[in-house]
Amino acid sequence: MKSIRTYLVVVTLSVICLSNFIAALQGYQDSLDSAGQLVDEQILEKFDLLSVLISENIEVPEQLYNDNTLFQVWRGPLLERQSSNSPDTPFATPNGSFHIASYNGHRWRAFGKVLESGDTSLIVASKHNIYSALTEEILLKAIVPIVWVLPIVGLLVFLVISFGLGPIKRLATSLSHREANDFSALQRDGYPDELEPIVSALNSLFSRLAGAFDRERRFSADAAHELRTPLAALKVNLHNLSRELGDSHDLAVLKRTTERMEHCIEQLLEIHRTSIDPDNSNLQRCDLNKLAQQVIAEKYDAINARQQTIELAGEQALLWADASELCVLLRNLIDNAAKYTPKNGRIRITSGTRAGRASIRVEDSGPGIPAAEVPRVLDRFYRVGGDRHATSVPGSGLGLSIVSAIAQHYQGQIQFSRSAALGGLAIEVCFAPERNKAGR
Amino acid sequence: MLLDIVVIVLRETLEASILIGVLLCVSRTSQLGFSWLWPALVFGAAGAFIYAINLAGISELFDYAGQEIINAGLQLAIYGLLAAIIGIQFSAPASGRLSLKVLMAVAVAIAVTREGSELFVFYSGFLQSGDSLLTATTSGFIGLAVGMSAGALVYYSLAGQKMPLLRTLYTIVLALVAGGMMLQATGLLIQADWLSAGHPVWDTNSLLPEASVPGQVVYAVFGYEATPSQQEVIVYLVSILLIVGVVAIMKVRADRSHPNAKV
Repeated sequence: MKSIRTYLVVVTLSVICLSNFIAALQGYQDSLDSAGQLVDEQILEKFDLLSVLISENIEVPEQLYNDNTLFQVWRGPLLERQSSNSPDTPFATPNGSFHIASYNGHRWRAFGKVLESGDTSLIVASKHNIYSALTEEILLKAIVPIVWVLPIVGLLVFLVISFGLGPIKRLATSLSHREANDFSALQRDGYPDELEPIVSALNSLFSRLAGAFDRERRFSADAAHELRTPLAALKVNLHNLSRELGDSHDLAVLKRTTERMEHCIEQLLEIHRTSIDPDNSNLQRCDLNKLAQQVIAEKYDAINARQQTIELAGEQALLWADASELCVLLRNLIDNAAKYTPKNGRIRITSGTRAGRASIRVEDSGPGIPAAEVPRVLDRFYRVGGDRHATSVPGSGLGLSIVSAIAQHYQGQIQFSRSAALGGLAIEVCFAPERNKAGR
Repeated sequence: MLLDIVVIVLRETLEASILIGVLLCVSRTSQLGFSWLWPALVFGAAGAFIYAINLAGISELFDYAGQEIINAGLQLAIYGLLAAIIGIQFSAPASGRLSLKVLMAVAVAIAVTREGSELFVFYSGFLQSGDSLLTATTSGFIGLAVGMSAGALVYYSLAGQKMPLLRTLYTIVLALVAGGMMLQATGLLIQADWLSAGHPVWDTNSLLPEASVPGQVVYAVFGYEATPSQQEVIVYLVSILLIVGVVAIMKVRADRSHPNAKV
């Protein structure tokens, strides 16, 4: 079943049509039977009256027969008396039962019987359909309003069913408008009894999900915090060792590994910070272009050290957001570009507003991401090429996950493509149009 | 009069609408959408009009048995199409999607041509006779509404079932409808003296009179005959057995080509 509404409307109308019309046809058939019985009774009444008149040899008054009724009186093979509209041949066998005969373009119901005198038989007949036209007319008058009213019934059924399905639509709207990290319980009021089990099941699911997410977030954050202290001690010891032993290749490798571990822990804490507060109260009007300038200034020395060039283009792109979170997003995007762009490579950042959506685009002249790997690059700890990636810059596989978490928080969308200008990867984050308005 | 018109319209509408209802189920199961139905209905209506206005000339063909022969030919064509549709349903998965659409559209177009032309001729004669137009239109509407409602209920009662029960159900209904088509075609060929009439094998008029409304309904859907001749009984059974054979062959072929696929 594709649509519950279509199913209910079509099936209800079909059942109404079938039941109404079958009832009407049954009524019509019963009316015809009743009309037939009425004709039979009238024939018998006329037969009794005529038999008395004929036995007494009294003239039959013309009122007793008309276009719809005829009679014949047979004495043996001789037609002794007849109505003016009667044929000259026997109309029916006078055996005391009813017959159907066709005469003058009509069907007639005839009754004939030998009278008590024994040598005379009387046949009386009436048109079979004298009441069926009347029955049909009465039935038509009853059915025509039903036929005309059917479209109105259809409309009413549609409206009633649409109204009845309102709570389902409301529940669907409420679920589709939820933030990705909103696990609050649905309000139970206003839903009919039939939806109560679904709402209860959803609330139970949200509650379990919220608990699971919270545990996962706290574990990552606690683990990162716990690792910070021994890592700091390790760095101090490394520093002391390098002073005692001098620079050596093994120490250099150990230092790089420690730095990578430190970066990873910092990123884990970053994720924790960005996802801990869904109802951020530090919202302000931010310009992505200005924030990008700040982040470029922070990162300029590192980028310059790699002999890469970075440029900022575009225009003002305003949205309501927490500036620190947008800075984290931009920092990770730029870090990612710088990491995968070779020496002497180029990075370009473009901000702007399209169709009311503030957006930021980061392009580089690096190798890009194979299409097959795009769906996975937002996964935590996923690195393109695994641990065998070409760069020597420490990486944790968390940068784009952080970008994704922040973008989702602001109903943004991330698109990956190949940069037409620089030939490498182009990542564009477009924020929802509502983020342009105050108080969102 | 009213009841007579209702029965005539219902008989013609019911056959087409139940066929459409079942084919829509097939289409839904095969994820083909319903887009093929609209051109089929339009072509069917156009075909009915062309057939009806040329009926006088068609009737004179084959020694004045042209209408019976052509109608029998159309019924045979629908039988063949339904057998092919059933066969494709049991063939290898995902095969013949386009051909299935075309087969269903052609079957519906032929059914609408056949039933529509009879309604067209009936109403043309009715208008010329000068009888009550209100009675004719109201009765026609009742027949049409009852026929379409029955078709809709058939569709939804089948569509509510799950596979593979759904496929079994619509295959049975399609096979019975196809058998009914062959039975009607045989009756028409007997009327045209292309087949000998023969003696009735049985008489079920006392159980289900052929002239009653239920009798006409069962005639329209499954080609019910209260007094079938030996030839009609044989043709009906053979046509059903042929479809069973088609299903068996297709299942065996599908099992061979896709041993792990469930057909």
